Amino acid sequence: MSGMSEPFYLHARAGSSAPALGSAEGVRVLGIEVTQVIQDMDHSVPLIAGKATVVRVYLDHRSLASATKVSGEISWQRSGGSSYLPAVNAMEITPASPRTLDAQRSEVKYSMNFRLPAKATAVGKLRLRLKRVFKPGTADLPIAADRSGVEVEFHEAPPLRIKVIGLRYKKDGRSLAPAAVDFAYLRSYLARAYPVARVEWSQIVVPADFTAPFGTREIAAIANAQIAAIRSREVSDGVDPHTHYFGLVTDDGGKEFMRGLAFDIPETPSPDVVASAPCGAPDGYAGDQDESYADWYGAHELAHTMGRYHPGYPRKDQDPDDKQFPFEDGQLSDTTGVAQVRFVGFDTGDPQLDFPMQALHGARFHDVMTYMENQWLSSHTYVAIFERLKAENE
Amino acid sequence: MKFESGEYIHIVGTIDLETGKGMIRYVNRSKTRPAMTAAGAKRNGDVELVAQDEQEEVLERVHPVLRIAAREPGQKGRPALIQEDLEHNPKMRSIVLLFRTKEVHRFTAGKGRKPAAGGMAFGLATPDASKPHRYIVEATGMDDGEGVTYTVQVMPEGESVWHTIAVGSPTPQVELDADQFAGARKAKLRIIRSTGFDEEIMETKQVELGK
Repeated sequence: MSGMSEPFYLHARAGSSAPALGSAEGVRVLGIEVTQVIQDMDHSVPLIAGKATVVRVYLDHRSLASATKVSGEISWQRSGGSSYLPAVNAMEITPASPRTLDAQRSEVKYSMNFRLPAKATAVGKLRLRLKRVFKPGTADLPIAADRSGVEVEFHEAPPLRIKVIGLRYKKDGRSLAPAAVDFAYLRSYLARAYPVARVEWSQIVVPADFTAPFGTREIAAIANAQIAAIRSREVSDGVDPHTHYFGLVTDDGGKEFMRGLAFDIPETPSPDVVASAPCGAPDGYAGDQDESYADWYGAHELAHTMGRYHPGYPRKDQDPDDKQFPFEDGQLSDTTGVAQVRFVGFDTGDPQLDFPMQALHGARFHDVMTYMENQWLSSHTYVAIFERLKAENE
Repeated sequence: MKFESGEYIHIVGTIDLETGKGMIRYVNRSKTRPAMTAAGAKRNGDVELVAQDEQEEVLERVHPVLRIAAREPGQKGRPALIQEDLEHNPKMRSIVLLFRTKEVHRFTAGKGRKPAAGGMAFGLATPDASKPHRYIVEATGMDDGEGVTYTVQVMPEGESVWHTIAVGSPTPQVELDADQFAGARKAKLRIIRSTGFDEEIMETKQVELGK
């Protein structure tokens, strides 16, 4: 009929051509990083077998003559033949203002990213190589051989066994207990950020042996005493004695804030050490804008039970009890006066809670043992917890 | 890490190592304890637990394992958690908490008569029609003698572990939220009566969760 355009599928697509190279040798690779939680380009942080893993490929923007988007494929190989894996994204190339390695590591969209399948992350060595780079829909671009491959190793890790007990207290005739989102956020954070491939999780809500109003630190002590007594009972009944027991207490919209407390920072493996944390909506607390602060707060208190001390940031709020903490201002890595940021955090995300994959870079992110904003695990804390969990299970 | 099995008395208490204020909060039987080396256990010479018999004769003295919280700037006091497993002695009748040799708190074995066989009944009651799966464990014929405490446990359908919903409670009446047991329509419920040094499972019963 006149006046109507024909359907798109009746016309051949206008093709596009491969972008011109800016370098005779092909697309140059700045580096390949295999990351789970925190990593450097030397892969000094141990990779945990079975844990969600992303391969990040960084390209020299000057390899191409003009701005474009490219995607690619990597090959991965253990023993036997290679398998091929497509990127989950296309990365922007901007030769006129080329992004450095640091800049590409700072944002997940600036690298070419690949989610490894479970088979690739089994215990042992893994060889990876960038096999294809292309503007989607066009021919492959040649790849310069240098730095286009890497070999890493995955290590066995014990599970984190934890029972989280929500303590339901009475206040003015109401019963107040942690919400489902508090449990879900803590569980997700531990699975994503702790050096484990598996969290053996159990949760329950029980009546608390205290009531509101709170007001003194003794509430956390009473909570932990109850948790310890429950633990002893259940381990006697057959629960694995390597299980950590942890209490959660809702803050009733901020009106009843029980400061978190770990009773002890044990120098030797002690899964019988208990801890409790508050939970609720953060409303910007410590830079947190999502639905619950149970995640990082709980991870902080739990880490105390695994021997982790405060590194002393901010200076006015924490004593620097961890004298070995290596990074300025409690950050995940030094950023002042360095040619290149060494460690970059990485959150592989959780689609069930709508947490996207993201890079955690530079001065914005801080170690979970600080009282700073935006908390994640530095290499220092991550490796120490890994070693402690292994020791607990020996 | 090693664990020891045996018959123990698990003692949980709190104490402030600066003020000496404290109390013994829970005393219950246990069957497992960590095998602590002398180097691994923090024991403070100011704090002592003394187990006594009926005549207050000393059966055992120990500087208990103390779990000391990380110090916070501006914190007042120095709170610590006492977690100690003593070997069970059938003569035990009280545990005394001492701070710098002064008695801070005393736990005495519960007294009272056990219900006669068949003299106890318990089940679930729904207190509020607006919350149909929020139950109260109701028990009659129980002996709430001084110092006698109760542990209430639930094993939902499909699980093989007992979840403790109350420990060291002066009564077995406790609130149970059945909605947290996903997919379970029934559960086993049990009540354990404790004098602190001795305990007995009073009854185990299957209950409907009404879901």
